[in-house]
Amino acid sequence: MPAIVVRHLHKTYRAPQREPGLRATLRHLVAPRYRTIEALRDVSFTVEPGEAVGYLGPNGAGKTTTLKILAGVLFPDAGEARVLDFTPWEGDHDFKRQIAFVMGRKGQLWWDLPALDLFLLFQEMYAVPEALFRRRLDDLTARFRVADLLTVPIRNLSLGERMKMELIAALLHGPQVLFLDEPTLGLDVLAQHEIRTLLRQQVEEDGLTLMMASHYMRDVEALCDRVILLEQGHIRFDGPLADLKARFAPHRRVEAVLSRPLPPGKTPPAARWLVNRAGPRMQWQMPRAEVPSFLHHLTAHYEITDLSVAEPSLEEVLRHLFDTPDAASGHSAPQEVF
Amino acid sequence: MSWRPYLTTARLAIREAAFYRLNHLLSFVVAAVPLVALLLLWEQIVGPGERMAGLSRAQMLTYFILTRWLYEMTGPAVWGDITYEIREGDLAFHLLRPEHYGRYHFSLMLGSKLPYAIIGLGVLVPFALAVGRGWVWPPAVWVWPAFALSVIAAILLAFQFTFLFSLTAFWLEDTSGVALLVDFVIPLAAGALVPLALFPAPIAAALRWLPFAALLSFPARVYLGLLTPQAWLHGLAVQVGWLAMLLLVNTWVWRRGIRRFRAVGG
Repeated sequence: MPAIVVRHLHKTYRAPQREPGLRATLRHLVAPRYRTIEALRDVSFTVEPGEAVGYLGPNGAGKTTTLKILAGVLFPDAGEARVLDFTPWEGDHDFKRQIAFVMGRKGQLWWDLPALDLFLLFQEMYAVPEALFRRRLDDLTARFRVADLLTVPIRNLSLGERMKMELIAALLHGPQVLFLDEPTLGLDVLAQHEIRTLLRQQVEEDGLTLMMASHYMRDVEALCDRVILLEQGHIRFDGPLADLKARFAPHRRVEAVLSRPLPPGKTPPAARWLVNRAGPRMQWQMPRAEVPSFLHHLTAHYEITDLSVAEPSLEEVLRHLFDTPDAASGHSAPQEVF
Repeated sequence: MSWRPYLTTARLAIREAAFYRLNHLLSFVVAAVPLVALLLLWEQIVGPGERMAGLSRAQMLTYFILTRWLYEMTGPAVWGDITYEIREGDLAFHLLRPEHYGRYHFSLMLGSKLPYAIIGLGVLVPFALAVGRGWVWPPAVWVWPAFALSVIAAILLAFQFTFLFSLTAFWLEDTSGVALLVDFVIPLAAGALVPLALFPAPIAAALRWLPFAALLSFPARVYLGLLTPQAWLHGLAVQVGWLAMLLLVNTWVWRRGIRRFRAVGG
């Protein structure tokens, strides 16, 4: 049975329209005008147990709305969703004991109290047996190296330490499904790395199902094997991360440094794919299939001091996708990726 | 459903309140200022040996001190924590957890008001003793448990009102208007400014049936021994009746409210 099933989910918001000026203010008092925003339009997908899914899209695409519906925080207007065979928004406590949601922009820990106080409260709330609670707490605090901060009030912790405590709070009851919304927002690279490593372990060792919205592509590349791309409330791509890159970034960038610059007037190799040239350093952008024969040619005919082949980052792929209408439907020009 | 998490929540609220003990002390001193003015006024109105609305001067002053204390402890209000959580989206965390939101905030409110109540007694009792001529003890032993039960019912009832007023945040972006209305109407309708007996008869009769009198006036009158055991039981039944009705109303309002919840931020 899939961990998450989403069928034809729709969600709209109503936002007041307030034009500038006193007259408009008076008009709004008498006859308020509203604009309907379609946050989700016919969204469908399934997630298997133990899968780690990156849920990506530009701001306002509907990512957080989806996660909040799946976590039972929001009600959809239409469509159905099942998480661990529960309807999330029905508020079943058995469902809530099996999920967790970490929001990078918000925290659930009380500002004036140490994290340990809240962890003990959550232990009671989620009915976690004492031995299991202690084992998880010891394990998580050791992995995050925050054991000595458990009795420090939250307000006295750094942003990274607070986020680690939030993650521990979310994992202490051993959820089967974890929703993450920008979990590494604003953190330094070390804290980001530690959080990714811990989450990866949770997925690989404990079979945690993870669904994450993030603008940090490194989070996605480190954690997720599958991505769902959302734009303006509907899905544009759903598949393995490798497929996304293969489909929308079929080019590679080759960079070589020759032992000495080419003589003036001599045509550089593979000139039609050359994109940059500075002295002995040259860069080409070429179809992936051409790379092996080109490298063979290059090393056979030139003296090379440095050579590299790079694929575009996920960030570049997404920038291209979201900048180009209908890219996901195959109408884009892949060579524009770089 | 275990009550342990809610007891722990109340304990944590006490711990958190301890961080702001000076704040609590100052706010109670501030709350005592209008009380002093009220006492001085009623001391002028009811002379020594006189009675008004069935109350002697000493009973009158005790009545106002008690209702003021009850209002500070149990008075319905627009609870800022709830309205903030609804408006700013933090309610999401509560919807995620296996908790009863109303019970959670009831525990929180009890925990945060308990230190406040103790500090309040520390301010009001010495004040009452200093005034000397204004403090009356219950006239019979049975009044003590009757008073305690009435206060407990008042606390439960007041929370249901607080919850209801606070849930307006699902519909209103700014609940300060509701807060002003509640702060103005409740003390008057509950008899904390003027004893209900001094209102014109039809209004007084209506106010006695409304739930507000059950919050402040009723427990204070029980304390002063102004009610027979039968009248006390009747009053307690009115409290419980309103409590049951508000529980139903709040359940209905909550179910409609969370459908409107936007969970902004995060």
